[in-house]
Amino acid sequence: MGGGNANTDEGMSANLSQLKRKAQTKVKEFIHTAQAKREQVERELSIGGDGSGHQDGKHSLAFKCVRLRELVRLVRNAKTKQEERSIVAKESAAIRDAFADAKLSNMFRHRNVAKLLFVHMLGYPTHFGQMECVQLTAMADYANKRLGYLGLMTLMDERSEVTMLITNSVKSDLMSKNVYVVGLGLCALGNICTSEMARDVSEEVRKLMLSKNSYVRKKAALCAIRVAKKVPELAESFLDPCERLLNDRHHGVLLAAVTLAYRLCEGPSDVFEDTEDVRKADEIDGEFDEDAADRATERLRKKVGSLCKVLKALNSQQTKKKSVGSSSANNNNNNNSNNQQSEHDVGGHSDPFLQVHILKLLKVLGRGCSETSDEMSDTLAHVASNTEFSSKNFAGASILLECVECIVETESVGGLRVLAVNILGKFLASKENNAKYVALTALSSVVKIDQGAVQRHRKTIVECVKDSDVSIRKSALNLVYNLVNASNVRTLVPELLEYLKVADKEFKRDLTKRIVTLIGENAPDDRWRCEMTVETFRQAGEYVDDVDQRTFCGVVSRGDEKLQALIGRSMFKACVDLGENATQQLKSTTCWVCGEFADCIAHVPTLENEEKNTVTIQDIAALLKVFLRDAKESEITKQYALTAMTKVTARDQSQAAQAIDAMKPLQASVDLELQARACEYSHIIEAGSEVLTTVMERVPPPEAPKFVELGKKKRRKSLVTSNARAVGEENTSESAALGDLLDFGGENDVVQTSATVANSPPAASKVVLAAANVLDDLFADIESVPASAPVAPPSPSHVTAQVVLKQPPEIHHSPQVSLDDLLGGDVSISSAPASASKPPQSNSTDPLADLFGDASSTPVQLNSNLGPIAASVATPSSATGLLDAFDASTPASAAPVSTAAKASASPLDDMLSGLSMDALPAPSPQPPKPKSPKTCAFTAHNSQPLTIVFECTKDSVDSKKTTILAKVTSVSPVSNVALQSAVPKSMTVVLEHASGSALKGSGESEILTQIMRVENSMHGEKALAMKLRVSYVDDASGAEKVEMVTVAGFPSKF
Amino acid sequence: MAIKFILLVNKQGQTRLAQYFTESIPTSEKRQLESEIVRKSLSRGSDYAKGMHAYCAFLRHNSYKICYRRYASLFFIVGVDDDENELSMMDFIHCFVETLDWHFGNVCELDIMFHLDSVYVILDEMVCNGQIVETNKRIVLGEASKFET
Repeated sequence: MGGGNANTDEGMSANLSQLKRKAQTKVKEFIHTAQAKREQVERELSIGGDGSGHQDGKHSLAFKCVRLRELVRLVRNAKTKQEERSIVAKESAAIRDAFADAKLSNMFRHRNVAKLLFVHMLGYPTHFGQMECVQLTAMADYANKRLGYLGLMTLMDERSEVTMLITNSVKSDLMSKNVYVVGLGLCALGNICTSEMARDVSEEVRKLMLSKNSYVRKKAALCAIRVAKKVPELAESFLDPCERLLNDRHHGVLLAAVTLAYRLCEGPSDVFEDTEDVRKADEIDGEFDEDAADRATERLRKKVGSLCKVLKALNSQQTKKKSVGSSSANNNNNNNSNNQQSEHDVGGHSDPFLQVHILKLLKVLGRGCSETSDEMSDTLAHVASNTEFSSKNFAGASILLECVECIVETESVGGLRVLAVNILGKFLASKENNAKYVALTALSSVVKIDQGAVQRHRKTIVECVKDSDVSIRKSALNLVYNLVNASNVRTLVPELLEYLKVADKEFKRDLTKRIVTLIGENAPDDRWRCEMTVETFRQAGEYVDDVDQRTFCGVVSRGDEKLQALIGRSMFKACVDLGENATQQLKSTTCWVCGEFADCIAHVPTLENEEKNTVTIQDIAALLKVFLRDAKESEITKQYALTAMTKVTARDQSQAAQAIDAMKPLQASVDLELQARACEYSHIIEAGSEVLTTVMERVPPPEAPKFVELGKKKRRKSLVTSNARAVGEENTSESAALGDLLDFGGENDVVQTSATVANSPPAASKVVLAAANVLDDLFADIESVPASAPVAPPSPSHVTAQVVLKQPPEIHHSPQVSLDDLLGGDVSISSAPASASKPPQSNSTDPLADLFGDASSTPVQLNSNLGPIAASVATPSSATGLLDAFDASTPASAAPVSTAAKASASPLDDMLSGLSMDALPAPSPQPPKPKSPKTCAFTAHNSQPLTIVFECTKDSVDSKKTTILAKVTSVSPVSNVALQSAVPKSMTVVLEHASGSALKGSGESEILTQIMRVENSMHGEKALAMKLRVSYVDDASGAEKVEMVTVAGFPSKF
Repeated sequence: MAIKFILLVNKQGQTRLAQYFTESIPTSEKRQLESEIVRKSLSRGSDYAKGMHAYCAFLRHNSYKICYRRYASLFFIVGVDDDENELSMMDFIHCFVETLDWHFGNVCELDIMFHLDSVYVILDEMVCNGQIVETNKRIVLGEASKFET
């Protein structure tokens, strides 16, 4: 422990610790002699009690009651694990015996419990000691009581019922005149109390929070945290005392009070932390009352002024002291109050822990409230600019870090934010890895709020991806991933690719996956996208997974001839360059591309910006021949090469002889698939040009994969919705027609909407908001439509406005998603000029009819557009609504799609049918609207890669009961998938066995199901509520992940 | 904002002190968790000797953030939840070590082993239910010393 004192004020601590040590040695000597005496007495007693115990083999009494130190020594001397086990087993047995014997039990209880602490730490069972701990707690003397509580807090396991037994003794301890006994009781309660106990003692705790003794006050405040957590409804009763404690001058009390305040404002955010499964969820007593936390925040905002004062005082002290401290080192000892303060000092900062905690509390209080944020901004600026950051000193850095987080999360003014991000920049630039790491983590929360500010530090962040420390690399990569957008992707991705060359093996997989995703999501054009993918194949082909490989082939195949030629040539070159080192993924993809587009590759002239690189069909055939001949080549490559060879022959018949020659050896291959193909292809080639060209025609481009599009949409949306003001800016950049559209949504100046809005004045503001959101999303999607497409502003906006008006208020949780897809899906509306001719004033025109008209006029297009929607698990409800509608008028085109999603009534469904029935006297047939929904389906959770859809069915007899069928799908391979759920006290939930725990990641085609039965005893008064905990192992990275979600999609009257 | 567990482990990976402030880890899994974390920290720690700043002191394990600090042969490992300030935890570890140092007078691994109960008592005065209670060494020891007599 040599370098322990590095950070302390050397002169003072040396002085003090010297004194301290002297005193300690004295005390120790005294204790030692006392113990020696006691031991002697004990020894005499034991011998006396046992007579000549040595003879009858019960000499173990002395052994049984060896002292803790003796046991530790024995275990330490144990040479093997086996020996250790036998010592512990023997000792455990001896302790059990001693407990069983009343006399021994009383005499050695203290010692035995102490030994159990040690045994427990070694990881052996100690449950038999719990009762003894309870007895110790009831003893009168402090040392025994202390150990008893210590034992309880440490030895207690989750199933223990013993806690019930101590309720009374704890209660009496809380009444004790000895403050230390009271403190003990509070400490124990704070660590282990259950919800029943919490109810029993809450009154006492509240009283003790206002005790005269600071020791009791601080312990009571911390105990209150536990009580409030176990019984959320009691939380509010602690607000008053908490407020008073925030004025306390004692550091410890203030620290505890600030922590309590933070907890009260945060609300029961961690319901799951202490509840491993559903059974244990019951331990939390009461509701998840989110409002209580809001009320607490509201009230505590009044304290911001005084908290700021305290913080400022603490912060100024350190600066002042530094100037004083330099002039005379021992100055602090002279003044008593100063001395008191200095004991909280760490590295020249006065009580950094308190400062950090106050900043944390300010963060919660200022979140979402500009007035409060204004109030604290001065102090934050003071702290941010006056706290010193040095790489040797954690204290200063921790305060700065917390200050930055506080600034970022509250509604601070721009200048302050710039200051905050600059501080993080300083952290990043420091040589100290700890600072670097925390800066990266902090920046990843900043990037969600203000991407621009972080962009300035891009260079340094990219440098961190190359750091030698894996923790730093990972968080830097995470950050870079969030930083990439369409404007900087051209510079960032090549840098990452550059790094891919030197990255560690285990890191490459993750990096490759990320790079491929970034390329897919942000590529400015197909050519760049393909070029970068080829580069990825070149650098880390073995880590590119099958799905990405196929996606790439799809992109090439959908591109034009120039692209195909370019990519074919560069892949060919990559294969030739790498030779033996080329990966199977690169080779097989090259085979596919060269086979499909051999003629383009050979005949399209070199493009601009392309390296001169002529590849002839002969070259391709030669390469394929090498693949086919090479015995070391993998079967997969050979399969691709075989098909490619045949395709090449179909383009250039002169290769026939060579092809058949190359296939010959494979006709006897042990791989049956290869053998079969080789035989078939040889025959086809021999059958002559007509057959060959027909069979080996170029395949049509595959359908674009859905997950990429979905991911894109999600990212965009989060960008747009995170900053509502951005709508205006976007407006100016769009075409005039789109501008009109926005105005319409924003101002409601079109006759028709204002009329409808007037019908529901209270909802008007919400409507505007929602409409803005809808348009927002519409924009996001229209961006992806070619600019030249004629846009029909009145009709689609008409639809959206109606849609929004019909939306019940509670739909606010999900409308963005559903409408997003509604609009995203039917790009056909905006690209079909037919609908543009409908003026918005014609009230009798049914906008849906337009939709149908379009649908029937362009069935093929619609079908392909709807494909992703119907299949997208994200919005089965909206899809159904929409599809039902389509189904009615264009059964032929929509039928195959609508069967894909057969979920029944949904909000959107209702909405659509309502639309046609009351607002619009349209003749179009609609599915009847059910009176009260018996079933519903919605997405409970959607994250990369998992999506969970809930299909709820009400019990036909008892409406309290609901059966929920959870369907889990994944876009990448996962295993050990486990769902856990918790519900408020008024409900019960039973989980049945899941259908499996692993998914191959094939998207919607593979579903994991699990049935949950929920019974809501307060049906009609309380809506269903549920928290979901999803844990799984991501097979790609091997990382275990846990996600928590509050399921918000239950309809309110369900 | 809470400490989930505190571990003291020596270079050989033997646990010297373990205190948990969460009920979500069943007793049966604690040992496994300990050994996994220790393995991770030790593997990083061994390179630590090469240069003071070779590695940062933080890593992630499941849903925990792990902060560790090495003093001679002992690793002090603290597992915290997501919104805890890591740097502050490093200070806390140091504060804990200093307190032990005051108490034992140049503390070493053996002190902690043989006076396990006192160490627990000191820790108890400093952390309650995962929240920091007191960082003033004088106050902590003043309270803890009552146990000794």
